[in-house]
This record gives sequence, structure tokens and C-alpha cells, in this order.
Amino acid sequence: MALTKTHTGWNARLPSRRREGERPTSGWWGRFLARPAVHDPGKLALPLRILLAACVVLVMACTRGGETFGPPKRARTGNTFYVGGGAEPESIDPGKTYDAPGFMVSRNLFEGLMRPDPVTLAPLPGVASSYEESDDGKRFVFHLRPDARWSDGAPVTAHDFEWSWKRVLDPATAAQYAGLLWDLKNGKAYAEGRAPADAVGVRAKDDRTLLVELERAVPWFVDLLTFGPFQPVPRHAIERHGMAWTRPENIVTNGPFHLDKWVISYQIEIAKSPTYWGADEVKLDRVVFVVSDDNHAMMRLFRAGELDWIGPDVRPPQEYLEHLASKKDFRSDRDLATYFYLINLRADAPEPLRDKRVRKALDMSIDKEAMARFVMKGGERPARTLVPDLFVEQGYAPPPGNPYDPEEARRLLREAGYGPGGKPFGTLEVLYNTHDAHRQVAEALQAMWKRELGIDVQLVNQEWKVFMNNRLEGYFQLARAGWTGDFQDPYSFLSMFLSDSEQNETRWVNEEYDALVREALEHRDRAERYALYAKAEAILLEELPMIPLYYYAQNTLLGSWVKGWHPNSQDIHPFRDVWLENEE
Amino acid sequence: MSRYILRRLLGLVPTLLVIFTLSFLLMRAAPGGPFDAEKPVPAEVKRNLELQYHLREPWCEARFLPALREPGLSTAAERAIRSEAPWSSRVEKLCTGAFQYGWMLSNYVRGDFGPSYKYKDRSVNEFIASGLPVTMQLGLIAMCFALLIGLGAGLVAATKQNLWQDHASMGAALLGISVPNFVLGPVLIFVFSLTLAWLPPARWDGWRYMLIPGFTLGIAYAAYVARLTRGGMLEVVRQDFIRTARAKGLSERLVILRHAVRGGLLPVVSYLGPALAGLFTGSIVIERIFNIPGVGRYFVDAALNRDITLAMAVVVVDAVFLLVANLVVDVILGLLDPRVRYE
Repeated sequence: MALTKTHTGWNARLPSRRREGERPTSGWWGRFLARPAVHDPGKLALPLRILLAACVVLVMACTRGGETFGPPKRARTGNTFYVGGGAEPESIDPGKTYDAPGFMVSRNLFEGLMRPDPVTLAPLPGVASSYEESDDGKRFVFHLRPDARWSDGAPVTAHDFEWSWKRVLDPATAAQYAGLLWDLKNGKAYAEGRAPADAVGVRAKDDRTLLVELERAVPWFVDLLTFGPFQPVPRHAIERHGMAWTRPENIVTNGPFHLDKWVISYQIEIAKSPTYWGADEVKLDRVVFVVSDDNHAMMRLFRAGELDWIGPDVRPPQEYLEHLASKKDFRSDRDLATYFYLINLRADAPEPLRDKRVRKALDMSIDKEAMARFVMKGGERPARTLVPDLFVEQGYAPPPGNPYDPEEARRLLREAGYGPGGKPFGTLEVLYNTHDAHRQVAEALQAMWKRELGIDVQLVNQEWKVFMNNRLEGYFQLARAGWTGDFQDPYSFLSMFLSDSEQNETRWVNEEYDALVREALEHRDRAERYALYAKAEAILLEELPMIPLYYYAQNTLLGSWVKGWHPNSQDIHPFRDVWLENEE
Repeated sequence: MSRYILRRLLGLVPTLLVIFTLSFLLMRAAPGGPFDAEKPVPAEVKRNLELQYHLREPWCEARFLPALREPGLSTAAERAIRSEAPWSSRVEKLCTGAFQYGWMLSNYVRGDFGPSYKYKDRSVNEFIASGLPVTMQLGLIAMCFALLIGLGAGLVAATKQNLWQDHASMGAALLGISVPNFVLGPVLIFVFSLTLAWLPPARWDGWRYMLIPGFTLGIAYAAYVARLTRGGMLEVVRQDFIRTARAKGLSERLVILRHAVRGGLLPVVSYLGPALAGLFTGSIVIERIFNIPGVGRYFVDAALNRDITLAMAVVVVDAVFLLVANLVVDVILGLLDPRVRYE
């Protein structure tokens, strides 16, 4: 899913304005200060005393140390988990949601055929108690558990899944994640109106058996079944209430929680569902999502003890990170996301950028280590590849990429005919969306390229939607980009640069790369697949339609009393497995 | 007077129509659409979304750019078709815009702000219904702070002209006007919530939650009110009828409270209308800092999200507010000032 959360956030902040030498000695202000002191010294003492007291309070507050940023012990009692929900969800309908806050809510309200393991995110049996897969990986039979029920008591049947999946594909639903279901047999054809609904490869054989047929083998298909668009939605509630079916008074859910309250732009409350088949395993009585995309406000709430976790969509602002580094309730984990710059390779792009030696020189002259450490300051890691380092543990052997070597970079630039005495390079334009952290990264790039290569760089920042529009239309030279994996396979990243991909905003075309990535999909064995991915990525890093800069970190604040919360690559923490420990 | 009010109310309609049209044109002219995201949705899906939200009109396409009716058209292909026929493309867009304008206007006539472009489960009416009372509450509390502090300080300053009380309150007023609320808010939170732990740092859950945001929002207005009160009072106390009152031997208290205040507050009353409307837009920052679920934040957020319906709804609601507040102020001015006539 796209990294829009931190970039559209508009944070009101305290400007660090210093006022020195601004004490006028004359004028009415001076008279105010001076006159009473002459006439009646006792009268000035009170305001002065207040001022003094305020200063003392401020100084005390500033030096407040302690091992934690928030309260050392849980400030609340009771079994309600307070979590920062991020921005107001676009939707909590699992079939229609597109944003991270919406998924965080819907994930806990609904349960698909599979549910994610809280530690590894590997699929565990959810509504389906077991399944069989054909040898070619294209046909599945799912057996549904008999005790799966909706919150109104009705059983969850295979027919519910068939209807829900077809609903996501139906053009009238306009579901934004519909593309994930196009791999179902005739899925895309039905979505485009070329095939009837009956032809789609999902069919309920009886109430408890679901037959699924795919167009092509998708190695991570079972992993996807934990994800929103594959979760069942209550046909009876939707047909009765239409768009309003997600309101607390109308909604019917099948997951560990049901929706209790939803105040727009303020708070969403979910409570444990007694009809959930695994209700005995759910330890929390209630979860409250505090809705706000103002990171500073959420930091203050956490500090005051009103939040147990600031949530995955609220990130401590950069200026806090150094202070937080030593705090026990701060943690930084690795994220399945990469920060990079796209290079426009369209025919009307600047001449130098279309030379791959120049692109390589640009990449090799960036000190990414320094950028991660001194610019980002959190747990970000320097990136030489597009595919995040998290895949290395799963056996991915990434290509080496281009090392930091300014000497070699200058040589490459000379070889391409630029540099001192060569062709004029012109000014490079670096485009990013308006945000403090992005500006700092762009400034670092500007300084490094000027210092190492003597290239003049102009920084251009634009408001989010304008920026996205220009990137999609190709009005840029170099543009910032960020990408989070939708599923745990490098394909989620590498597919971005396939020549027919909508996301390939650079218009880079390489047939060998396309062939390797496509071939990898044929292999259901992970090691074989990963070997082909590595070959493909080697081409990508040789040709460089993008320059990777760093892998994102999940910087967060979490109370020590929150248990059953495990760091994982996609920052997904099913609340059915979380509990709170009250200290006596 | 009722005829006057009726005429003024009828006058609102053309004003609102102009505001509606202008904000619609501005929203249409802004680059980027509500469904653009870092992870672009497939062309077919985007098309479905745009059809549903009237950003695409089959009739216009069939009439002016029939090539777009091809099923399964990719974004690149559509771009190529459009660049080949720039004029037809422009006409098609104008036509779609006209349809969208008509659709929204007919909704407004029925009292419906339409569906939100961003929040797929909700209509804009729900956002207004849930946020407006909160913003009004915040505005009223801020207004109470503004009037209490402002009138008090202004009266003190006027009666003690050029004494230290005058300088102190006018100095404070200058400070109140100069310190922006996004600075004052966090400072107050820092002192009263995080350090002294007297009041909660954010949210909206009872009177204790309203004090800091109400004060922060109201203080700048208190400063204006103080200066206007002082100015108005100083002008009035020099007039003949005040001298007469004093000559009758009335006490200074009575002179000020019974005679001078009525005239001296006229500037404050006429300022209240715009101030009330300003409190609503002023809450943009406050609502964010304090995580208050009002409508003020949508002025910025909805526009940034290109949520056309929501952005326009808050503009129109705010305009109605401003216009009605001005009308109320004019009526009150007439009651206070014998020189004003309802024409």
C-alpha cells in the first residue's frame, strides 16, 4: 500500500523562534516596566513573581528526565486498549478500504478464511479450518469451520465468501483493491463486463465448502486471504442498509470484535464479540482508536498516559527521535518499505539522466549511511536495493548494488562526457511533496551531488495531490517515492518496474527484467523464485530507473504493559492476541 | 423590521450561489484528483470510481470523445487519446464539469451535500452534523473568554486612561493579538497538562477539556474586543450627554455602566459578527492541536484531499454563518443605537 500517511500530515508545530535583544527601553512598554517600579515597587512584584514561577515550571519541565517518555506505569485501569488510530478511515468496509487506518479497524472486525499469525504474519486458520491445494497451485478447496458466526448469530457460510468476493470485483462497488482479485479465474473479465458473475473462479459447493480457481498460480495467495478484500461481508446487512451498513447500529461482523461507537474524526470503539468462534482467546474487552493525524497531539496524549500505543500510523516527529532514543517505551523496528527517488526516462526528460552512467554516478555519490543516521535519526537503514533488507532473512540474496564511491562516480560522469571541460550538465530538478523530512533528504542530496559531482540541484516541493499528479503525468526529472509491500514477497516491489505497470512512472522498459520477474512467478519454490528475483533486481540496479535511499523504520511508542504485541514487517498487530498487564 | 430581515434573508441566496460557484470552479481547477494515490488504482477501477462520483460522464464522452468508451482502456491510452484531440478533450471536460455542477447544485437544493469523495461510507451531511455542534460549542466558549476578558480589560483601560492599568491591559492585548494560537496552544498544554497535570492535553470529553482550547482560540479576539471597547468608551465619555449625566450628579459607576457602555460597545457589537465567523475558521488550527472533532479542520484537509463535496460544504456552511451573523449584528445594532434605521 502506498505511503501516504506521513506525507499528507499537516502538523502545527512550535516554531523555534528566539527573541534576543528585543527589550525596548523607551515607549509605552518601557514606561509600563519602569513607571510602577518608581512609584510603588510592591505592585510590580506580583507579575514578576508569576513570571518567575512560570520560568521555574518551564525549566523543571524541560529537565524532567526519567526512563520513559510516557508514564512509567499504566495510568488507567480496566481492560480497554487505547491506541492511536491515525487519520479518519476512508472506510471500514473491508472490501472498499484503501488506507492503513481503515484496515487497522476492519482487520479486527472481520476475519477471512485465514488470519495472520501475530509474530510472523504467516496465515493461520481463520474461518477456514483447513484447505487443500492442487499441485499446480491454481485450485483450492477451503473447509469452513462450523462454529464461525456473524455477530447477529447467523452462520458464516461459503456463500458469504462467494458473494463478498464477487462484490469486490463488481464495477458498481468501485473497490480500490479490486485488482488483487483479478487473479481469480475470469476475475478481471467479470470486472470489465466481459464475463458473467457465474464464470468467476469462486464457488460455494455447500455451506461449508468453498472452491477457488485461479487464472495463474499465485505463490502468496493463501497469505492474501487474511487481507481486507478477501474478508467476508454480511450480505443481509449490506442489502438492507446500503452505504450506511458500517454504522454501529447496522453493522454485522464475524471477527473477534464488533463495532460499538464511531464518532467522526474523533474515536472508534470496538468491543469483544461474544459470537466469535475464538472468543475464549480474546483477552481485551474493548479497543478505542483515538483518531487524529496530528503526530504532536498523539505524542502529548501518550505522554499524559491517555494512549497505550500511539499506533502504526502515527510516527514520532523527527525532532523527538534523539530525545526518545534512550527511552524504554520507544522502539524502532524494521519496516517493509523503501524510500527512493524515481528518474524520469521519457523521451522528453533531460539528456544526461537518460545516460545510465550518469544515473550510476548520482547513486554512487550519495552517502546513504550518513543520510540514514544524521538526517532520519530513527531506525532507518541505508538502502542499496529496492527490495527491503527484511527479505534477506527469508533467503533472498540481494544483488550488491552500487557502493558509495565518489571517486568512481566522478569517473563515470567524465566517461559520460560531463564534468569539468565536458558537456554542460544543466540544473537537475528534484521534486518532493511538502514535508519536513522529505525536504531534509532532498537538501542532503543537493549538498552531496554539488560536493561530489559539482552538479547544481534545484529543489521543488509541491502539495501532495499536485505532486502526485505531476509524477503520474511524468512532469518531473527526479521525484521522491516510497513503497510499502502489500504482501511478503519481493514481487510486491519488483512488479512496480514492469514495463506495463501503472506504477512505473519512470517509463523504464527492459524486456529481460520483465521476463525474469514473470518467470519467477512460475516457480512455487521460494528459493528458486528468489534467485530469479535477485537476477532481475541486478538488472534494475545496473540500469537505475530509481535510486534507493533507505528502508523505512517503524518508530513507535508502546507502553511496557502492552503484551502480545510483536514487531513484524508490516506493522500488523491483531488485537485478538494483545492483552494489558496491570501492575499491582 | 420583519420585512427588513426577510429581504436580507432573500439576499443570501444569490450571494451563496456565487460562493458555491466560485468554490466549485476553484476545486475543479486544482490539479490532481481525489482518487490519485501513491499506489495508483488500476485504470478500470479508477474509471468506476469516477463514474460513481460524477467525475466522468458517459454522455459527454460519447458525444465529444467516443474513443474513451472503449472498455479496458489503460491510463496511457486515455492520455494518448486526449493529447491527440486536445480540443475535444477540453470540451468533454467542460461538459463533465457542467454535469457535476448541476448534480451538486440539485443536491444542495434538496439540502443534501452529497457523498464524500474520500470517506466512502459517509455522506457529507453526516460530517457536518457531527462536527458543526462541536465547532459551535468551541466557538461559544472562545467567545465567552473573549468577551469576559476583552470587555473587562477594555473597561478598565478606558476608565483608567493613561494610568498603569491602561498600559498593562493594552500591553496584554497587544501580546494577545501578536502571539499566534499555534504557539500559545502548545505552550499552555505544556504548562497546564504535561507539567502541572491540571487539565487534559487534548480531546473533547467534558468542560475540563474545553478550557485550554477555548482560551487559546478566544484570547486573540479578547485582545481585539479590549482595544475596541477602550476606543469606543473613550469616544463616548467625551460626549455631551455624558457630561450632562455627570452634571446631574450621578456617580461615576452609574455614568459608565448605565450611559456610556451602551454607546461605547457599538464597535464591539459590530465586530462580533465577523468575529463569530472567524472563530469557526480560526478553529482549523485549534481543532488539530487539541484533537477536537469539529468541522474547522476540513477547510484544509478536505481541500488537500480534493474531497470536493466536503470542502465545498464547509465553505458554504461557513458562508451561511457569516452572513447570518452579520444580519443578527445589524439587527442588534439597530436596537442599541437610536441613529440606525432599518431601510
